[in-house]
Amino acid sequence: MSISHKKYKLITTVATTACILVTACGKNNPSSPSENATASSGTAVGAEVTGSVTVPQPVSPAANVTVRNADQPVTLIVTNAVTTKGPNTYDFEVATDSGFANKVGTKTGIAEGIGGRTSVALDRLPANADYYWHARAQAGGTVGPFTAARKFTIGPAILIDAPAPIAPLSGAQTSARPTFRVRNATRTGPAGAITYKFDVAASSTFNPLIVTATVNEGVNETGFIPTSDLPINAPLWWRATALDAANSITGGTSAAQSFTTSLAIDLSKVIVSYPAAPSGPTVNAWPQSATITSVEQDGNPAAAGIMCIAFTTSHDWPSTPFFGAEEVQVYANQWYFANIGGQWYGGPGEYLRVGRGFCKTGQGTNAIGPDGGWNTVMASWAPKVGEMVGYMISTPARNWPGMRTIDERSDIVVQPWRDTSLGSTSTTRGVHR
Amino acid sequence: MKSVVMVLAGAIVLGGVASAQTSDRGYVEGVAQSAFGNVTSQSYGVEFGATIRPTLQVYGEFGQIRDVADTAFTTNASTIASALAQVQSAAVGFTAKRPVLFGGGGIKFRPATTMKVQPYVLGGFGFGQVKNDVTYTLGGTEATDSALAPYVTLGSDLSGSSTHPMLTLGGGADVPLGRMLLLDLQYRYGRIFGDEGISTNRAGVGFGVRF
Repeated sequence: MSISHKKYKLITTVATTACILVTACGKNNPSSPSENATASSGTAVGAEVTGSVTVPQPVSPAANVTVRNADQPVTLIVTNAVTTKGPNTYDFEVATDSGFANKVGTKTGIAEGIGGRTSVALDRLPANADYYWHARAQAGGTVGPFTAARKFTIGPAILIDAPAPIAPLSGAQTSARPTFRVRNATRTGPAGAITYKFDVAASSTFNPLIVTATVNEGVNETGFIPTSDLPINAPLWWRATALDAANSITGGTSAAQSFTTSLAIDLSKVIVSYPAAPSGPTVNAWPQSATITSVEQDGNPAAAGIMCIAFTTSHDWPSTPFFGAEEVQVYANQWYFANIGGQWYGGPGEYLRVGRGFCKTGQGTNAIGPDGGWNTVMASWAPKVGEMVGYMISTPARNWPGMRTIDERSDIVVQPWRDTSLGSTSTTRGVHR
Repeated sequence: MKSVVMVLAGAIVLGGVASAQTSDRGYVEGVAQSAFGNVTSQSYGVEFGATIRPTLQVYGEFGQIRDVADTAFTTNASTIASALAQVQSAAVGFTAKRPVLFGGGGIKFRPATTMKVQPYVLGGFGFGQVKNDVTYTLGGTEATDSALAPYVTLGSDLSGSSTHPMLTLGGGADVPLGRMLLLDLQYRYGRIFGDEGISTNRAGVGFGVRF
């Protein structure tokens, strides 16, 4: 039985009707609102069913806050978005304008965080500038909307220069507890309270450290005195670093300075090795009205064992006749100190005459001991080149209390013994005690 | 349902009166159905056919099922509504429906019978266009696209429409009403293929003319 023409027309009508009813078979045609979303979002990908994604909520940084430059990197935090299909990933953008035309940071594909929040740490941003950030989620083939832009500001940078060493400078001789001094570091930006970290080490690499301490900044300069003795007669190095703890900023470090400690002299414990002289404790109690400004000596016999101890006094020291000789007025004695077996010995040496300067001869390396009239131990003393020797000036004290005047003294300077006949080449510098 | 029963009873009576005079070249009928399955709703449409053999007809149909939303669809819409309530301050409401426009055709087998009522089974193929009809309200006012854009991007799971092949199987009984009229008691099962297949069930009546 064949199909009539009319029946074929009916079949054709059925098919035509179906085609009219059907458009784009098999394809998803998302309509509002997703197709009206921004150009970069809301478009379903491929023919698969795509999920719906809400906007995440910005949490931190709060709107319009200022973040200290020291607190970088900034961490952006959002509450997780809601999706109907699949896990979210997040995109974060940072720009210098609210329209995000000038992006300075982009983090994409960040996995959703646990606890309902997702965060990402930005790379460091230039200081002292305003920034805008926003974030969005993606899930199930759908890109969600961006959060509203939020502004934050990175505060100005804080720069702290290296402090300048004042003392001791390289080559100095110091006591076992010298005062390390630096000129305060200059700084720019809103720095907090500055402290200084002093490091002392036995090597220029500062590893290991012998002493390290942090002290508050002083006026114009900052100093630090170790609370225990440093190694004696050892080459040491020190440096200082300025710190802004409040802003977690470490400033520059001063240039390392090398120095050498010397034996300290406690005058009250010195054994005076001259028969007629005030004891150590006695002379220790004398007022210190003079200050040694330099010690220049050379134990070379060819240089006559020259010993020049320059000093100043706060007032005139009176003179007295040298053993009754009115024409020979003396007003001071040089003092020498030798460390022998860990004990300081010393005593008054040459007299200084009025108007005759402060240099004396006869203090050669092999003469200063035997020719000094010292007691047994010091009488055999012959200082070695580089050995630390102490020097002091006092009012007449040799043959004391004979020729006694006002019983005053200077400070003590300790410095290495020098003898150009034994290789010494340079003038050493004194250190006050 | 009561009216359907009354129509059915009347049709059987009238069918018995005029069965000997029936025309059988084809038919056109309007259809009203109850749709059930994922959600109970209504369906309506038009069906037409032509007799190509005494026991076979080709038929075509088009119509609309008002809602085939399943639980997942409604849950997704609700999830987004809840999220909207968190990201903006206005009260959120929503409606979620999935109407289907369908059309297609197939073969209707009508076994020979001595009864006045003509039973049949059919199978057909066509297309179903599923529309994701989700509407949100913010503060009691229907949210426009631009109003929603800052808060959510709806994917194709909750927006837009998609068209897929649709299989139709069914059966029923044609009850002649006099020489020209026809009452069709019918059931249709439909399967809309796609990423998320949708099954539909429709049961109802058709009323039309024969020629």
